[in-house]
Amino acid sequence: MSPWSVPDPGDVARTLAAVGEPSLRRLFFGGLENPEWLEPLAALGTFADPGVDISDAGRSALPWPEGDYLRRVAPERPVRVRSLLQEVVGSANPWVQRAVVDIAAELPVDDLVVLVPAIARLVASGSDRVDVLKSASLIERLLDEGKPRDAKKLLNAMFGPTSSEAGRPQGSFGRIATSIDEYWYREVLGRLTSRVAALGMEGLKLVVGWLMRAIEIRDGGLGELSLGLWRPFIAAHAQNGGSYGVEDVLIDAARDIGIEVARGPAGREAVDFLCGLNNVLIRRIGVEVAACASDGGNAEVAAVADELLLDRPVLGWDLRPEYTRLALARAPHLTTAQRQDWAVLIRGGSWLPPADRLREMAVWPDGDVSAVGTDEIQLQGRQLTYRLLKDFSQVLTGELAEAFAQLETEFGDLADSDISSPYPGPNSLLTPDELAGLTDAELFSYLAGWAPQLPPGNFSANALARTIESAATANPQRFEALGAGLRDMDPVYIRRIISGWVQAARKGYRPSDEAWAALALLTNQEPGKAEGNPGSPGISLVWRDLHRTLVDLLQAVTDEDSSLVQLDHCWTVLKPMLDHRDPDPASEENLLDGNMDPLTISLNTVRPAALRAAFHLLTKLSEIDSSEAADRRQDVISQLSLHAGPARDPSLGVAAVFGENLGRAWNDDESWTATTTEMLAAALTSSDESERTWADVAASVALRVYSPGLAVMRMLRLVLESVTSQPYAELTHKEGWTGQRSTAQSAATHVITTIAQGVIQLDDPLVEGLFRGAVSITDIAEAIGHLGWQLMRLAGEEAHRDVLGELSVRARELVDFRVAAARQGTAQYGELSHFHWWIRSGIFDIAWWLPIVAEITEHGISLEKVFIGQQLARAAQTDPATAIVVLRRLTESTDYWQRYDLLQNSASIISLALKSGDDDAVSEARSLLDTVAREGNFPLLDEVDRFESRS
Amino acid sequence: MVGGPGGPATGSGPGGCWTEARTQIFALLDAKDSDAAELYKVAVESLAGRLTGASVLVGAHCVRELIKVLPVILGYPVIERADASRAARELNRAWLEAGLPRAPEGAPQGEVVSVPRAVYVSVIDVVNAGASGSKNSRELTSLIVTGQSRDPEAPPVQRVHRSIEMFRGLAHARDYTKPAGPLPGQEHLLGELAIIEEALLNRLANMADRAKTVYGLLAVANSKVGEGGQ
Repeated sequence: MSPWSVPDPGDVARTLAAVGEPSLRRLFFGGLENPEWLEPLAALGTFADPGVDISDAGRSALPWPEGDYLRRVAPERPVRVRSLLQEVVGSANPWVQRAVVDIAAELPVDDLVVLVPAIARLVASGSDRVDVLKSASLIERLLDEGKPRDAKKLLNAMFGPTSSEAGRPQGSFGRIATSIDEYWYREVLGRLTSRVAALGMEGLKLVVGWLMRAIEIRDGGLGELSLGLWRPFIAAHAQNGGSYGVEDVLIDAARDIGIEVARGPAGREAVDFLCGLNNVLIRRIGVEVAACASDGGNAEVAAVADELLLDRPVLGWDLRPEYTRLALARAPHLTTAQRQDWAVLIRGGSWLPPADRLREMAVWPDGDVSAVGTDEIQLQGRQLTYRLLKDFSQVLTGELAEAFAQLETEFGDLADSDISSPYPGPNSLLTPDELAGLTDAELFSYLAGWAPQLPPGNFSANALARTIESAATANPQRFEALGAGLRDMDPVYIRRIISGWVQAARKGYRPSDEAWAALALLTNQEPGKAEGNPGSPGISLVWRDLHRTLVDLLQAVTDEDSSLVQLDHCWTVLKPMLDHRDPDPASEENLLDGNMDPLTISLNTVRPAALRAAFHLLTKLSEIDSSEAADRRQDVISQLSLHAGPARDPSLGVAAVFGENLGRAWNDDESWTATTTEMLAAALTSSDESERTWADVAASVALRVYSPGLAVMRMLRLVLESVTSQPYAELTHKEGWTGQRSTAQSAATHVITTIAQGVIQLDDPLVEGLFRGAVSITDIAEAIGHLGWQLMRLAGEEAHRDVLGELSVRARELVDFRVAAARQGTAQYGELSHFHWWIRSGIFDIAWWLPIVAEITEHGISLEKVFIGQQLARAAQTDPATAIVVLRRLTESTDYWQRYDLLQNSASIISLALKSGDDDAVSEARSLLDTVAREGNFPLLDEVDRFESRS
Repeated sequence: MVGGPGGPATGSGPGGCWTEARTQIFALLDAKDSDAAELYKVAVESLAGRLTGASVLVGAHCVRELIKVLPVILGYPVIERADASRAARELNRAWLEAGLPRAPEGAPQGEVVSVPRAVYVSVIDVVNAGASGSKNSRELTSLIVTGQSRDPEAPPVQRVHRSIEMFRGLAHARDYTKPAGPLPGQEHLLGELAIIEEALLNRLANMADRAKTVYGLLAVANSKVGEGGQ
């Protein structure tokens, strides 16, 4: 007899009506445990599919809290729950879909299997609400409880690949789609590997079937024309890379399951099955499985592994990595007769490529094939045999060991083994140690003559160049010996040598006079090779990169050195680079179209980078008190002037550099800089778009780069007046440095912050200009908020406490000034929508900020961020009536998910309001409780109760 | 079942029908609209007092009117019921113009009857008005039960709708040419009224209080034999 009370049907009906509100339904069905309610609720249609609501706003799914109850009573009423699930299992509602899997997991296996076909359809549909791990648990249960056929249905639904063209966008990899995304595909199939392997051959065939299907989809019906699926190793290896996504996971699964199956009762049947399929990749898995499973004591598996070792086709290049592993595994166990057969096979050379191919290899890359004789063909054959044997030489014995020893004598060390690093490209032929061991003459001769080897070799000039860079960093002087010969080297190597010198310069290295002379020769190098850089005809990419690196060296030496000698050298090399063609207008246009901002362009192109280095040089020269330095400074200024303005240099990258370095120039030559900023300020409102854009870029970068202050205010005052003016607001503008803050916001921040600093007063024309209406409320609000944020940061730093007092007084006057203006109708309360930073700063009295935030919210303005819960809770201690009003307004005007901090602190505020004795406060608190309850935030109600019961 | 509109009476009214919850509903309605509160009061007292054909008619009529005005006083968007009477008038006109018989006895024999196209079109209008009326009526109930009109198929909405429809059915005077049928049982009527009253409380009362009510309902629902639930 059930221990649960049996409800009266009338009570059930009334209760159902009482929980009509969605949040109450969730509360009720989240807590109902009594299984006796199941039947009367079912009779009222309570568990019907809520379906999906389709309206003009799109599709939305109504929640299904009833599912929680079904899950809870499923163990006690499995048959009834199963029949109810059968009625909703086809639902399009994702909440129901999720619940079906959750509830099914609670059913006895005999009830579960009835639902499996429907759940499989659900999983296969790719519903993102179905919990992948729970589905995996269902599979495990089905396998554990003797339902392999049902488990296979779910396995196929989860892991069977389909073509993405069939219309399942989720989990697409190229054209392959699966019902779960790649991450879970890998995780869950890995977790289920042993369970699937326990199915024996059935499990192996299932996974291999998925892999074959995946290969077929990727091939796209190309058949023999397909490039196929290739990865370096079937065994786990760092170079496998996982670039194929689903296929890589399936290869791993087929391999691991194959090994487990081959080690079990199926034995060689697993290897025969894999090696018998007409697919190279699957055969490679077969060889790998044979290699790994042959140590398991199963004589049949060992026998098939030995057969594969002696099978000529298995020696082909495609199977080489797995053949090597097979040889390593089996050679020690071969009988004498097998070893002899093996030696005959390998030495016989029937596995070698045809003679024509060997001829091509002998004269690669561009020799005369017809001139290759028999001796050279045989030499190639011996080389390939040597390469084959070298990878498993440690297990060779007898005839093959002797043959290998002879080949080793003939060919010596082979740096690029076939198997250990089969990827082409990423490696350097010389290790840093080997490079250090060469004499200068050997090294330079080597660099002049070396070329990458015949594919599929694994070395590249770029990889070697990286090693050279390391060597130049560690021992920069060594490469100075090249002298003028530096210019004659491959520019790939030159660039890396200079790059090594850049790093060395930051650690104290200074190029010798000879090195400077060699570097000067590089600037004269006409970058005329146009090929390879279609965006910038006339400048080869490799020379452009070289020159860009050269500028890095000049700036590194400039920044690290203060001697006129070194600075002079820098200027000599730098001066011609100021007229470098990179970026030309076409290439800069391309970069801008590719969404690169001008400042970023300036960092990646030669001329702007050179101009930046020249500004740095100017700073360094101004620190030297000598007539030579003064002359040099004048020269630098003259050269910079040649690029000041769009008429002289239209590059926006150059404009960004001017904006970035105005301050450096100001420190050295105030008059020159004032002329430049005057030009910029006027151009900002110019109707000539190119003139305006250049000025936009320079001004926006300057306003973003420099912190507000007296000096910057003097330098940029004209620019600030222009940016906050009405004519500026009416024109379109270009940002020089893409970021979160616009030029107008930056300008507003300069004005607002300097008010707090006391640099300008509230009656300053700039202040009046800022609030005149040309600058948007949003920008002003952000700037006022930014000041609050800065005050908060300063308050957190002990070192700034002394300045905080005066700053905060003036800042407060600013806010009072704006609130007064809003009251008079000459400003909008929206200017204070970022006031939250001021509240969070913790440096202002509650009595000051609480009425202000109440006034702001009273006028329908919410705070941009409402993470002021703690501060509001403290305020509620002294003024609960105002705090609760603010809390309610902020709660109601903010999205549920954004008010975490508010909600965390709401209980105490509500509780204080309820206990305040103030009727209005109590009413506000009750109203807020109603809101949070309708949203279903019942834990908050409980917390308020706890607060109240404490008193 | 704990508390609620059908819970223990606190004294006043016919049969001591003014439970704490009913008093609360009356006050909440009164704060919104005094006429609505009076409709509710008359409904309760008519159905809870000595039951007669007239008191059922009056009570049911008051329930129907209350449901009708509720969205208005709650400030919800008005859901118009389809004008079935206009469609019926159009059908009547088309019917008469076609010279079709008004008494069923005059209908032609046979499974299929031909009517003029104008009559057929008017019939479709009547059918659509009926279907639309049913849909709108359910959306109205959904508004009252959940605060949203988009969930008319939710089980609680369906159950409350059944109660409302029952009172609508009782709101019409009986056919006095036929013998009077038996009166519905009072317990049944009050049970159906309680279902509507629970929905009213959800709309009118503070939801935090309603959550506490649900905790109480859960405690009873989850009780075991001998713990007081049964």
